[in-house]
Amino acid sequence: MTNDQLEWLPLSVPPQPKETQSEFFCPHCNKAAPVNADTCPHCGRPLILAAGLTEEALPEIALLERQLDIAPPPEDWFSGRGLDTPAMYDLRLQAERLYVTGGFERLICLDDINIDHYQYQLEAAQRALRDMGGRALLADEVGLGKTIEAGIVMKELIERGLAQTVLIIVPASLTWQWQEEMAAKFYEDFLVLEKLSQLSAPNSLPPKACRWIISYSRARSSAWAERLLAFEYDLLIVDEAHKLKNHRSKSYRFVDQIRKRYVLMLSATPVHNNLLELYNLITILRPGHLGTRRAFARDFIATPTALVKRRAYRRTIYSRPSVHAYLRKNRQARQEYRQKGDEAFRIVARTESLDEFLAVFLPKADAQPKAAIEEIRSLMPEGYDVVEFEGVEWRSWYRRRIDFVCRLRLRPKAKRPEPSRPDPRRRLRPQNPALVRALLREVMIRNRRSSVGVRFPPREAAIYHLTLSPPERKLYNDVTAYIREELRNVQQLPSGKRPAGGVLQLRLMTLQKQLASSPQAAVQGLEKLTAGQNDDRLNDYLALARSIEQGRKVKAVQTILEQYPHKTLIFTDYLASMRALNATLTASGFETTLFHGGLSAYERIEAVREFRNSAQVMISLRSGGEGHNLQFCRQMINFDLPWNPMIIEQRIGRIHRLGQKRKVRIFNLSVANTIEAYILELLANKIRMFELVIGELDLILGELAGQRSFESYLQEAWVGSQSEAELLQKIVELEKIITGARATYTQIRSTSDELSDILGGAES
Amino acid sequence: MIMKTFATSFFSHFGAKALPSETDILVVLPPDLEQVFGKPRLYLTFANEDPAQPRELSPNEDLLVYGSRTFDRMLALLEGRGATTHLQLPIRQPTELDLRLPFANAKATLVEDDYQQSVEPFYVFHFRATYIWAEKEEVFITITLDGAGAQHPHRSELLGRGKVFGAPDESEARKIDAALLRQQFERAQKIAQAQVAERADALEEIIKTRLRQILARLKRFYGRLMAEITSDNPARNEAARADLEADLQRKQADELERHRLRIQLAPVGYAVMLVPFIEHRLSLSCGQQTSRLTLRRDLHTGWVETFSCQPEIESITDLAFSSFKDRFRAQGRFAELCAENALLCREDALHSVLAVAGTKVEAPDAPEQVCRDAQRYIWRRVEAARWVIYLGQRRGSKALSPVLGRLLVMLDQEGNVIKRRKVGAVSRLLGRVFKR
Repeated sequence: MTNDQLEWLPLSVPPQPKETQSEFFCPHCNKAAPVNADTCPHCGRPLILAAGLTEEALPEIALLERQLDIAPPPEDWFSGRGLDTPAMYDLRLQAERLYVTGGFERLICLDDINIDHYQYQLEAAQRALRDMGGRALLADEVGLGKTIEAGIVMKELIERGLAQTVLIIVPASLTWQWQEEMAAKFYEDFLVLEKLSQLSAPNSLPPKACRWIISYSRARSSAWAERLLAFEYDLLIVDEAHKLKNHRSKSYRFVDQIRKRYVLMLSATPVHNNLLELYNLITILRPGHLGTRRAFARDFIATPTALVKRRAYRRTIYSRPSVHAYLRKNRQARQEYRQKGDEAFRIVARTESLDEFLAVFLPKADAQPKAAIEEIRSLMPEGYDVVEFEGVEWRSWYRRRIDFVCRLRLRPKAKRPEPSRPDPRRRLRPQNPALVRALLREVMIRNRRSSVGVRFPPREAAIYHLTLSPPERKLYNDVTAYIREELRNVQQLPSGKRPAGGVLQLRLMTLQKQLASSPQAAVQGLEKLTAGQNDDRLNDYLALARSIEQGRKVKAVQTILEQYPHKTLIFTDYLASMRALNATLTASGFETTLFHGGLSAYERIEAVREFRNSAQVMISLRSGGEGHNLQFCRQMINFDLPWNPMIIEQRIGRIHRLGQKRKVRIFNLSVANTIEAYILELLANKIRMFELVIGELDLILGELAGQRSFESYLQEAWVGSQSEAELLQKIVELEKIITGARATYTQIRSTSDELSDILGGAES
Repeated sequence: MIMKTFATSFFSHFGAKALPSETDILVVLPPDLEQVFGKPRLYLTFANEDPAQPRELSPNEDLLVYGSRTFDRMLALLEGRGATTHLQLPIRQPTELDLRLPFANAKATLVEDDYQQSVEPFYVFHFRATYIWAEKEEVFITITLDGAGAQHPHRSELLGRGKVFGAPDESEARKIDAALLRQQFERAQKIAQAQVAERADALEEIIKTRLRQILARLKRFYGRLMAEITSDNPARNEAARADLEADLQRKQADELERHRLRIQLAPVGYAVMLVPFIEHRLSLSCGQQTSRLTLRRDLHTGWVETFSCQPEIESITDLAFSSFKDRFRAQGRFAELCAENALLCREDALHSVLAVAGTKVEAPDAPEQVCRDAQRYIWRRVEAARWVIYLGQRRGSKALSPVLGRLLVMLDQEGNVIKRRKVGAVSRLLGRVFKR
């Protein structure tokens, strides 16, 4: 125990975004104009048009004939048989008057949802409903509650009878979280779609039964897509909508095809690389709002156009350290364009994949695409790979000729430690930011912490490094060795003879986690494993586990509570650990309260109340306390560490959330040379999760290669390791992947911040 | 507050013990309601005035607001009940009408020739109008008609406020004519339909503006997409354009359908309200002149019905009549006749009325409307401050223009202030007013 020490993690504070003021120039007369003006004060022409780009008279239209449905009075009304007492009549009349709903000026659902009301969230919901017709991109910064805003909109539509069928598309890791939030905060039950059998024919289900949550990966698969597209949805919610940034992706096409009345897209980072990504999202919401893709690129994306134009004119190869190539010898294509070209300079295509580029661009450039492909490929220097293409059709104003340029950006294959991203500034900066901003304001709501005055209090995080007592260490090592051996045995079995559904594997992994939690939890796991079989080794482990009265972690918790005597929320994943911890703490004089799934709703409320009023410690299972306000507590201990970091984030989110006024302190217990210690190392020092705002972790994990979850990586490493050394090696590899994902996210965040700066006025 | 009143009435009616405090209500439920609400007691709390304020609920509290579960359960209990009833409004005024109204001139005498008491039915119909397009709006419409089919909007305000009236005795209830009731319902439904149509017109203007932009955007977008198809393969171009055209048609049709206004007008309930009245026939004389006047007073509210053309002014409770001698030379007009006159002579009356009110009207475009506005303006003031109205007719006054002199309508804040003035003083006063 001499090595035990409390290590405070150095947490960096993310810089607050700076306030920016951008100039707005009238696109017609190019004079400065007020940002919010509808018409230019100099030339009087409209600054913002519905389609955004040109000035056209709006056509006269005829609405479809209104439908008036007049219900007849009940037959017994005039016979006098159905008469009721005046008192009952009075009650009914009062109730009917109260039951009337007005327009969206007033949100009627607010008191029927279990959330803290923040003005900016209510305003966002109201704007989405009233000003945007229920079709909006909610792009608040991470941690400001986009889910809440979407939930308010949903609840409002449901309560007004405007929406019954709702489909929510989310990343796989968030399906259950969404289900829980919808139930706990908005009292709406959703079904997480996992099996095709859950979907029957479109008209066979009552509309209320069509409230589903599905992951992207599942939804876009052809079998699911076909079934889901057969339904019409009143409301579609797309979380992490930046996953639809590529308009040619399956996900994009799927979402675009869904028949929907209202659409909410949620993304804190709607732009990762290119403003066209934002264009894609907006086009799903409002086709044509930003014009066509080509027009948008031409009119709003400043730098590429200017660069290409200049380079095309110079007819030179434009070199950059990592990017150069220039196709200029397609005379036949030039000839063709010269003959038929009557348009001025315009970008024909701008893509990020060779195949896509060729499909879009080459048919125009050459009548024989195959030959052209070969020509382009032959131009690529060896050892280089294609990053990006830009095809340009251009007519010089004085030479009266059409030119044809294809610009390739290449990067050396050898120097590719991680996906390189082009300079975001170059691709982000729109030509007329104020006009883009004005257009976006009609469909996008982006709240920033700086603008809504939300400041999260700082965090402190510490790792309490522990050394196990000899019997505990022996138990851990022996059982771990046993588990590895068993797993190996299972893997060596022919596939037909393995236990169905990976049950044994799951049990063994659970045992490993229990082992890391406490001896009492290990006893629970071992008992399950030994049930029905007489394995001497297991019996020995069981006896050893039972002989350990107090785990090292329990003692450590006691030390922390004595040293930091504040209200503390302790999370563990296992009931046995909870009981053991509770017994020890109670015996030591700490007043505790327990929170777990076995409590009724009333008991849960009582537990929270007890914690608020008297108990110093609440011991909770999983991410307990969801839907309850626990901001009166500012200290938490991760007694054991779930392999899914999202659960840890949820735990932190219970106390470090809007409304928390004091510094939050997070303690993590790390037992040397255990899987938990490795996980903690990855989370604390590689992902640096304790300095992330709630919500950011998912964005980082979303960047993991192959869209795999952190947990699956971890499981693979653990299951596939024959020894501790091998595990360590795999963990090091995982570290690299995580570091890459973190770097990518940092880049995306800075891109988003820059977008926010540029489009400052589009924010609420 | 309305919700709290409702909750108190509701639970008291269903046999629960409702104990209201300043902000909440503790309700001890009877066994049958205990089953409905799943617990023996309810601690009802209500919405904050400021919707942005978070509400901290203690474990046992039940928030009673629109859409809350408790409210929904309460509504479920009322389902199919209380839609129709007969009401008898009680007599609250003394049966002898006190006609000693403040007179401006003691020379005038008022004699009651006769009076008669009666009970008259008013038909109050409730409808719910629901307007659905991309949004939804509901309006609760109440139409109150008398036996002749004239509207009396003020009357419905007595109902649904937690004040319970009694049922009529059987003999009175038997007099309610079912055929007339149905007839009045149909009339009320038509009036409701007209109101709905008016609102629908306004909504469609809003919808049209929005839809016009959407359709223009779609058309422009697809037009440009089509223009951007520039491959060398004409067949493929044509196919792509056809696809886009089909897509455009579908989206346009979707938007048109999405913006179609759907209205549901549903009858919610009705009450036949029996109202006690007394009708007085009066003689008003001043010197040689005598005029006859009929006044009807609602014995429940005390409202005097004088102006048949203006049912909104029922809440006038006091009237006074000037007895200046020359007012009655040419068959002076009194209240109801005066109002009729105002409608008939229009401009003259209006100019004088509005001039007194301090507003000058050059030439009313819609005399009837202006007339109504003018009267409403005055009556509203009368209603608010219990002003005394002096009505009369005057000819040839030098102080007044001939047009204005034909009908003199003068208002003052307090009857007794005018009362002390002589004719000349009044004329001078009016002269000053009109000269200004």
